Amino acid sequence: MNQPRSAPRWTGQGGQRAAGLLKLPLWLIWNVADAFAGPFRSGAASVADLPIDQLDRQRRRLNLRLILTFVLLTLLLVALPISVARMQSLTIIALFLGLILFAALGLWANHAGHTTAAASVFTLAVFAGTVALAVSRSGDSTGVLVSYANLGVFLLIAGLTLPAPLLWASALTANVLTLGGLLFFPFAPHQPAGIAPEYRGLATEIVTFQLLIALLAQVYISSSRASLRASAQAYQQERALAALKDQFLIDANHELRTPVMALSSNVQLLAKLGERATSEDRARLLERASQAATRLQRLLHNVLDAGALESGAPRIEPATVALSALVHETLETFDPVEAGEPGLTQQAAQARSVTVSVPADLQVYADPARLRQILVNLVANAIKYSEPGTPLAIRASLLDTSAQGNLTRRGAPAERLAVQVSVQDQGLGVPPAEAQQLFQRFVRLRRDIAGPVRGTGVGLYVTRSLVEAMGGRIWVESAGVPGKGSTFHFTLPAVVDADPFAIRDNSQDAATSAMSA
Amino acid sequence: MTSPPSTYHVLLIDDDPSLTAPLQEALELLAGYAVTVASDGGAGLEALWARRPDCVVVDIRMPGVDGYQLIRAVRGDPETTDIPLVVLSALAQETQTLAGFLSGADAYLYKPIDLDELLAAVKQAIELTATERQRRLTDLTVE
Repeated sequence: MNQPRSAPRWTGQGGQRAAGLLKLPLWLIWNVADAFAGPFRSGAASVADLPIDQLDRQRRRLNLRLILTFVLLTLLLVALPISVARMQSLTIIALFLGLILFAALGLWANHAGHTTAAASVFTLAVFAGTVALAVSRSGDSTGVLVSYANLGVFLLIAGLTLPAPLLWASALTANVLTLGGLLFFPFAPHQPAGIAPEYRGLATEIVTFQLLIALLAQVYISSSRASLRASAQAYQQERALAALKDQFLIDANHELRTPVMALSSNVQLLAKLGERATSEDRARLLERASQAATRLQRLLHNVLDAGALESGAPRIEPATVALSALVHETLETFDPVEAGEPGLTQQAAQARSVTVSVPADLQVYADPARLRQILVNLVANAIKYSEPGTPLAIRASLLDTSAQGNLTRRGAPAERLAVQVSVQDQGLGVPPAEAQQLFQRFVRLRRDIAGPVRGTGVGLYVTRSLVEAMGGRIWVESAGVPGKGSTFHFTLPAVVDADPFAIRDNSQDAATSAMSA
Repeated sequence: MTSPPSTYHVLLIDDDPSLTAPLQEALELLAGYAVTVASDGGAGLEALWARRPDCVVVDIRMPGVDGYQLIRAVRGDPETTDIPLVVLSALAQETQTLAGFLSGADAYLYKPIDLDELLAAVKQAIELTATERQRRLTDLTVE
């Protein structure tokens, strides 16, 4: 819609003359119809592709085209014939002819892309015409008043076709012309007495009217610009999300294929070895197959949950959960080499030390399956983004949220106690600038998209949604420096026994497992 | 299960140990190859320069030197240009397939793939003579 569509072409071999005769009127009718339709066409496609300034220019161009076409038609078909028929003064006819010329020139300049210049020249021309008309009406005070009041209409046109500063320049010019014409009358030398004194008081009202029209035009333009900007932004966001979704599909595809192949390779190998496999071989292959299955399961959980979350909050079935037992249980599902295991001496060089520091009787009110999923995601991330052998730490403690108001979620009783769980690694860390977006759907760190670290961008999104559905909060603390790592914290509602000293009296169950060599 | 008479040497390059472990065993136990595993492209190139393998099975997405870079390095070096290469990748986009071929892989396999297919592709790559491979690559490039 950037360029007006080309007029229809007539290519018939016979009847070329008739076609030639038809060409001009058809071309004219088509152009007029197109000019009138221009500003009303939907601009959805252009909102997507053009910057706001360019859209604004395009809108002004279409408005000016419509207005000038209308003015040209009215002058040619109505005003000029009537004034000729009524044998009005030559001044009037000359004025109309002048305006016709300006309108035609304006249309041409507008078509060539000089919208602002065309609209400015046209505004100046109608202003000059108005003054000339008022002067020619000397003696007819009502006619003079109407002429100056008419400037308001032209200000509306200026508002639709000119940028804001030029609109206000035009409004001030109109004010000066009006005041000059009505009060001081320097534009009517034939009539030194000026217009009738009783009409002079109307000058302020006309000036106010003109300013009001200019203001309304400005308000209309600004609000349409704002809504244009809003829809363009919404579109951009939608497009960005669509791109993230595409990337997610590629990543999820990639992520699913590797564990599926690991699982099937181990099983196939087991089947093919048949009798040749020793019982140790079998145990090893089955263990590897089951680890691949676990990895696949975790991935599916997250991917499916991310899909389910689109249709609402996750289903939570909360219960009182003993945190320490659940943390240890969860850690057991990880590869002992990756996540550390007491007494693992063979691969000690590669094994991580995992420090678990969770008070033995700390209880939370949470869905145990969902809580396990949260821990799995955070621990899996810690392992994924840190060097093999670097330590991990999982800590939990009771927080008094009434003392730290920022941890109280809306709707939660202020006096409720919360448990804060932290998973700390010494890995790559999270750049602080990206820490917030990290919990959004499909978002991955720029570093990871470019680099070889695999992922789908839904793990932390699912984790955040689960934490929030259980009434908690999640955040990350990291300097973004590789090797300094990051700490993911989340809170959950605590379950406290009636005796408030029950928890604080208990010593911490701090266990350090699988020390690295 | 019968092993081939001569022992070919296969270099397996993939950063995911959960996959290299069963593949290494499959190549060793089922096909009787001698297998070296490298966990990224850089280590793969070093292993390749240290001992010339009869076939390289290589992943694409790896830290450091990735699969494409490795293939280009191998094909660009007259010493190693005729080593058979089998790409084993989870990147299933067509453009990447094409890029894999044009940069000189003999076979391009998507994960997941049956062990039988992988073993067949490796066997074929090893047995394909250098001239045949050269002709096939030229045909592809011309198209």
